[in-house]
Amino acid sequence: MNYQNFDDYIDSLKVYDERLALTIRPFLKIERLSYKQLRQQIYQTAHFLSARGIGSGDRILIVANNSPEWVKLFLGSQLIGAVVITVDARNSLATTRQFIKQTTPKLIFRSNLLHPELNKDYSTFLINELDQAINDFPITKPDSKLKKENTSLIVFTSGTTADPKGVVLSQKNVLANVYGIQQAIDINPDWRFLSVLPLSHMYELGASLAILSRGASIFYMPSVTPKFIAQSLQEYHITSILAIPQLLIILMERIKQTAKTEGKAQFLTIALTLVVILPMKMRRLLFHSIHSRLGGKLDLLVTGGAPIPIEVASFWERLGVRALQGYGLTETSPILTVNRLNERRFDSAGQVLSNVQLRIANNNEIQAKGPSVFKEYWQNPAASVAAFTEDGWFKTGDVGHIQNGWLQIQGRLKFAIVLSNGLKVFPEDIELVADKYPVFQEICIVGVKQHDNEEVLAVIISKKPDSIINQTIAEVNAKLESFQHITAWRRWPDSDFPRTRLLKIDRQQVWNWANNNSSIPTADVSDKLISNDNIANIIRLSLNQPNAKFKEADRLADIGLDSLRRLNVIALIEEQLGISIAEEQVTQITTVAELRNLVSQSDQVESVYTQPTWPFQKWIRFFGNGLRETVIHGIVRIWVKLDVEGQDNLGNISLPALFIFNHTDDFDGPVVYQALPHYIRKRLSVAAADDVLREHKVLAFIVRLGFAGFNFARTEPYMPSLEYVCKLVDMGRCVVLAPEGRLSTTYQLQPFKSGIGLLAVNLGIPVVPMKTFGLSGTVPLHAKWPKHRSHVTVRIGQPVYFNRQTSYESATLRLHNIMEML
Amino acid sequence: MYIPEFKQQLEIGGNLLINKAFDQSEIKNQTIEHLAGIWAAKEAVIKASEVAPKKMADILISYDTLNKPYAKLGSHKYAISISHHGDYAIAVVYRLES
Repeated sequence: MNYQNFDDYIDSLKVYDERLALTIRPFLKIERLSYKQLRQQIYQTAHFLSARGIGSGDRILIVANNSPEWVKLFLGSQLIGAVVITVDARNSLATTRQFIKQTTPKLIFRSNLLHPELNKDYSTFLINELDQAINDFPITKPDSKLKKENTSLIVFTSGTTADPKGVVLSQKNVLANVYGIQQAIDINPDWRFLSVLPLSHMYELGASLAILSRGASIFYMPSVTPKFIAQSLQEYHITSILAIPQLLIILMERIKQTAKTEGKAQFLTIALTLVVILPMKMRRLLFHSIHSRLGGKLDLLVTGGAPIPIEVASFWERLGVRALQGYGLTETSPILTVNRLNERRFDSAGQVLSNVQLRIANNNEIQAKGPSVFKEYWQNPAASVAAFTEDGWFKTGDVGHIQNGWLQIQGRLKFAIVLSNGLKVFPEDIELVADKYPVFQEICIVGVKQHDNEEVLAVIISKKPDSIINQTIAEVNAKLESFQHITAWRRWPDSDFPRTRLLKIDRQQVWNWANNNSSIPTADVSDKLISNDNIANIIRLSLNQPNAKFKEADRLADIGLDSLRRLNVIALIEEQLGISIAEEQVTQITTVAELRNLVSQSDQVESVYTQPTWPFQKWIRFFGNGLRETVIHGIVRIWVKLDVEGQDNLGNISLPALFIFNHTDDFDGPVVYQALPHYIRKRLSVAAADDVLREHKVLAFIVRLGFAGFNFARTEPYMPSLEYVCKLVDMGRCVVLAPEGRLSTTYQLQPFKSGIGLLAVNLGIPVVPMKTFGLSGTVPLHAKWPKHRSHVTVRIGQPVYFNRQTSYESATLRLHNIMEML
Repeated sequence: MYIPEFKQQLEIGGNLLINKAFDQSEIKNQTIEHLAGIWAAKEAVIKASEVAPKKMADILISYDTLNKPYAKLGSHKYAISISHHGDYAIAVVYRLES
């Protein structure tokens, strides 16, 4: 659809009202937004912004992590003609301040905990409080008189050469590209995208707008870490990821590593060479076990930001996952060319979009024209003029050629190395060959000035001795044209190259170092995905010094890791690597090397989702419920005469709900079950003690089959169990549990575990207290069989509701008091 | 405890750090300044105790009926005092006979 402006765009989303738009799980509970809710909240956001005095042409700045609020804020501001300045949340405070100074926004939206220092000097608003703030505003569409030429946003390029330039894009630019993408790729409304790149970049933002324009779903993570990516792929059954090649390389290495540890490396290698003759569906079947770890549905990877190495693209294709490469720049909002779903080539950046024109200039520079090409840089007329040719084509600065409509990119024009004979060498061509040699951990080719000419220098990161590097360079040279030969090499004095925000090696910085002997640049990016040395990165992050230097034998305390920072290192290792280390093992005398050892010896944190899924399958439930209603119910009736009070309290309760009861007897589980009406029973799951179920396999089987039961931990770590409860509730199941955590031997109500408060507050569902009377001693502690028949009364209390602001402790106390009074 | 540094660590570690450093009951609607004080008290408890705790969250800071803070680690009880001045939170701990 050819949109006039964002008013048009948002209107067009109406047809998807009932579909799922955005999802995030900020803490325990998944939050979902349908297209209808999204649209209404965009309207509310627009009203809210107007009420804050933001109008057409006013600027707001967003420096925040990806979230549904980010999207609402962006689209809401577009509707009233406001201009959004997007700033990468990973930028330093100084850089962020510089952008603020240049663009003077009226209001700054930031993530909680991100750059709180800005509060002192500017008017700021916490993006996580947006939902609360817009709540009282009308869900009707605000009056908007948008013109096509309204400025939509200002995005700063990650150019590290000089001051970053702010690219000014109009609503027309952005939406023209959405249209172009729609024409090129038939986005299926059933696709589920995982968002891993920052929305502050046009690549992610433009693609997200295109995805939403087709009614597909986007899933956000609380933070982009390998652990969350793995979890989200599984949990949301992600079909597609928009990524940079580095992420696909990391995922590829992980798959290969797993195959290795399982002794299947050989099978994988052989199978990968043989599958080329198979259609995609058969490949997916063959690599079923790999796919199931990736959530089972992943079948499209869209890459951009940097060229994808051919062997990486081909690895994914051979697994049965389509790899789609594209090319574009911020200045072109952003996509210029992309491969098509049914015609994919690994060696090409794809074919041009239908509403963009491309040409190759005499110096082989790629130049572009079309409605998605920007007009100017923010307050930088000189750069704006220099960006275009006299006849109005945008100069991309990239060199390449087009063959039968397929674009091949050679490299950046400004890094082309000009030899004495006038020939041009592109560093990218050499790196493509050299990258295949594992001797080089990383390699970056730059030109070094020699009098009037340049020579080809390889800057290398490697642990190998000079002799081996010399030999490998000779091998690389043998595969290159003679004029391309590497004539000199040096070691890079750090463990990784400086990177741009899309994790490309920052060639300019390396060039500066090689030519001017400038000091190693301080990295602005502390991206967690760079996995070269996870432990060192985590230590640096915790020290908040991206370039901190330390040796393996250094004690943690000596490099500045005090007890709080050490605890943070443990937390970050758990979050980023999914590895759990006991706190007591990391002390002030632990060395860096010992910490590495601990990590390599520790087990991965046991996944929450190792609980069996079979108890929840339809026919198992059918059979299990039948068994419970007949046999188990029959046994209960022999020993218990049951009276139920307070059933009316369940009158108009909305399900799912959480049921809690006092734990006075081993028999109370089935009794409480039986006290509830059938329509609740059939969707009820019981939380049974993890340690007991592990020990008694038969009991575990009965609990799972008859009561759709699951393991609930009574000792640390509690979190996975609480997460699992949330997952069940999300599946629409009710959960019954005993918040005392263990059987009361004195028949008195014991204090509740605080986990119940955490669940009650976060789940946002009714909590129903139930109390049993007269059951105590029917099955005395450690007895196998009931000892006497009891007359039991189960009293059902009124459902209790909690709001988000309640503290966990007071929610726990309140439930305890209610139970006591019942 | 120097509060800006404490704040920075919470920003880096987020919820995960908070859950490792504190018990749920200690967090309830607390400000960062407050948490810095509790952390300082925990550090002081370690210095005053004979055995190191397995986890920082094992040291429990609570308040009695007069809202006076005290610490518990295992069976030991500690009298504590927490004060704030400018950017600093300071805690003094005295071990009571168990």
